[in-house]
Amino acid sequence: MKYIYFKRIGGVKRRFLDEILKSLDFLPFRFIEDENYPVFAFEPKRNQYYAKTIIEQMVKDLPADCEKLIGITDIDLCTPVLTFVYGEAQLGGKVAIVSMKRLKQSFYSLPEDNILLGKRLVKVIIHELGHCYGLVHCNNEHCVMHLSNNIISIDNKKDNFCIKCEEFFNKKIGKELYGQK
Amino acid sequence: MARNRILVVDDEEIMRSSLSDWLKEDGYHVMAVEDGFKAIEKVKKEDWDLAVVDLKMPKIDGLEVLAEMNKIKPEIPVIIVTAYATIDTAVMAIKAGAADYIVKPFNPEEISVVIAKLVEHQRLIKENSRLRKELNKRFRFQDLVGKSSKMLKVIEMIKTVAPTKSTVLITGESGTGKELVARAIHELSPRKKDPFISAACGAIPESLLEAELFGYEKGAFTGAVTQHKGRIELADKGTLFLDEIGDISLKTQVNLLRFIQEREFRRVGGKDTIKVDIRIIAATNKNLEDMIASSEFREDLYYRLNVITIDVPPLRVRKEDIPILAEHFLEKFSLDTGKKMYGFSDQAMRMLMEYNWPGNIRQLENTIEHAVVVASELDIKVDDFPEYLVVSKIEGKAKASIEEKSQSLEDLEKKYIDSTLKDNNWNIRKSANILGINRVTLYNKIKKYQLKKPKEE
Repeated sequence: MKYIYFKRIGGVKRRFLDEILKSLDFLPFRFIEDENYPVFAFEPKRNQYYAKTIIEQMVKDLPADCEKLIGITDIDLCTPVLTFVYGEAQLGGKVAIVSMKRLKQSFYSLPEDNILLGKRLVKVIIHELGHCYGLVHCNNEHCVMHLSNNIISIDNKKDNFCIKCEEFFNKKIGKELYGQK
Repeated sequence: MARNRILVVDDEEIMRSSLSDWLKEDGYHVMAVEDGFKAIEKVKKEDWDLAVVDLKMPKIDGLEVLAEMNKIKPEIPVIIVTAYATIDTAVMAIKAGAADYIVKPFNPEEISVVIAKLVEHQRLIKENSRLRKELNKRFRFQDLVGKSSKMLKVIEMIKTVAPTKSTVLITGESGTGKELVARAIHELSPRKKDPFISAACGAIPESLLEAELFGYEKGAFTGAVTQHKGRIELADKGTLFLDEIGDISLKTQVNLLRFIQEREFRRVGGKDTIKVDIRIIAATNKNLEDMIASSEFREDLYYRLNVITIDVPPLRVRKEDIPILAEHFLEKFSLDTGKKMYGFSDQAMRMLMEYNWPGNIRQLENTIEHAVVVASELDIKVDDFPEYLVVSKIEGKAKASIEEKSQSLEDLEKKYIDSTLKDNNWNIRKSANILGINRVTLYNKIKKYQLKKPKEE
């Protein structure tokens, strides 16, 4: 049996994750805890962390029964070419990471809203998981695989796939997670 | 649907992979190379929808890469990226032809919009080009472009006469494409694998024309140091196109007539008779019937040449062909000059449609070439046309307003007949055709309205 692993990186609260990941209980998943901050990926000039550097480290510690590994963190992620990312994944690979930093209302100087944060986080997790299964951005703006460059576009899309992406995703997890032919 | 192809050029591995990964997630087919030379090679060998090129690279910098790419495939938009933004470099990049200039790291929203915009722009250019080719294919016969009933009649005639051996006389004003008609006849004939030899009789000095047509033997005249085959001999088994036949002298007309009757000739200064198998196509913009009447052209030669006549209509009577022809020339000169052109503004196309085109298709071709060269935007605007087109429009308006004040139907008829005669160089047959009356009626109208042919200068 293979599992989708979620790795708690930094100061993300486990209880919060338990609550919001209930909506993903159709997937067999497990947790890895890591409360250390990935200082090796820190870029002081930008006061951000390089997502890809963290992913490269995560790949080195994959559990044997790991189908995919999704890191969840509260640090601000970026890439060398982008000023920030909500998440980053290996396209068709094993590992992805998502950040809650810019999903929080407080980032936009608004009162905190954990329900909204949970909804946003689930969308970003499914989006990056979709990339790990080889899905690219979808033109359907309601599909969870639609490219989101700002918080409004995350709120505008749904937390599930469009018919086309769902078909692709189901086929992939059927084959790769459950060993169907 | 085929994925759009993006070429990423950056000397830093981390930048290449980071940008590539992000673009791949967006569904693009991405190739990343580490220096400008490799990028130029990739552009030479493959098609790309967009290139993202780093400004500062060690071997060859981004602006040089951009300049090379613009030479090889100017249709590929290039985004110049840099970590060190200055206004100077931005201006330099845009001046050098970059489609955009962005600073690393990019705001994801900004880069997404820039790339999506350029890729969509590329898609539109490709779609435009595909539609143009489709249009050209649909309304193109050999090198003749047109969909008007008059042009379709010409094409039908070409198809009918091409397989035969008959001599053809092509008439039509200067610039109407008489040589293209002749070439089309040759290309569709069983002689298409043999030569098509053209002789512009009006352009060759009279003293040289016979030697050019019939060839000469060594020592035939001063300067004839070697034997020289004439165009008639070179055209053996093929087609001889005698352009501007109305311009040849009566003496050459006699020799030509003899050759057409007997299909054999002697080189100038030669004794041997040479037999050839050629098809003759002649063309003229003159009224040979009038020339016969004034003893400038031999009647017997005229009847020998005029077995089948194809009259190529002037552009002003087939204005519905102007948009297709204009698009055809736009495509041609866009390719020649390497300038990306979309099409014509509505106003510019209206101006082309309204103009009278005395120089016919040749003039239209020159006008479009001029416009493509001077155009500073992606579509041709009125200001890109030569001045005569704009002036003519203004004059035309003034003329129209005077004409509006004409008082009677007779006045209008007189003016219309007069202008038709002038437009057709007082060619009675053509003018009668255009006016839709027979020649006798036209003569009667000329007499009634006391119209007079202007004296030639």
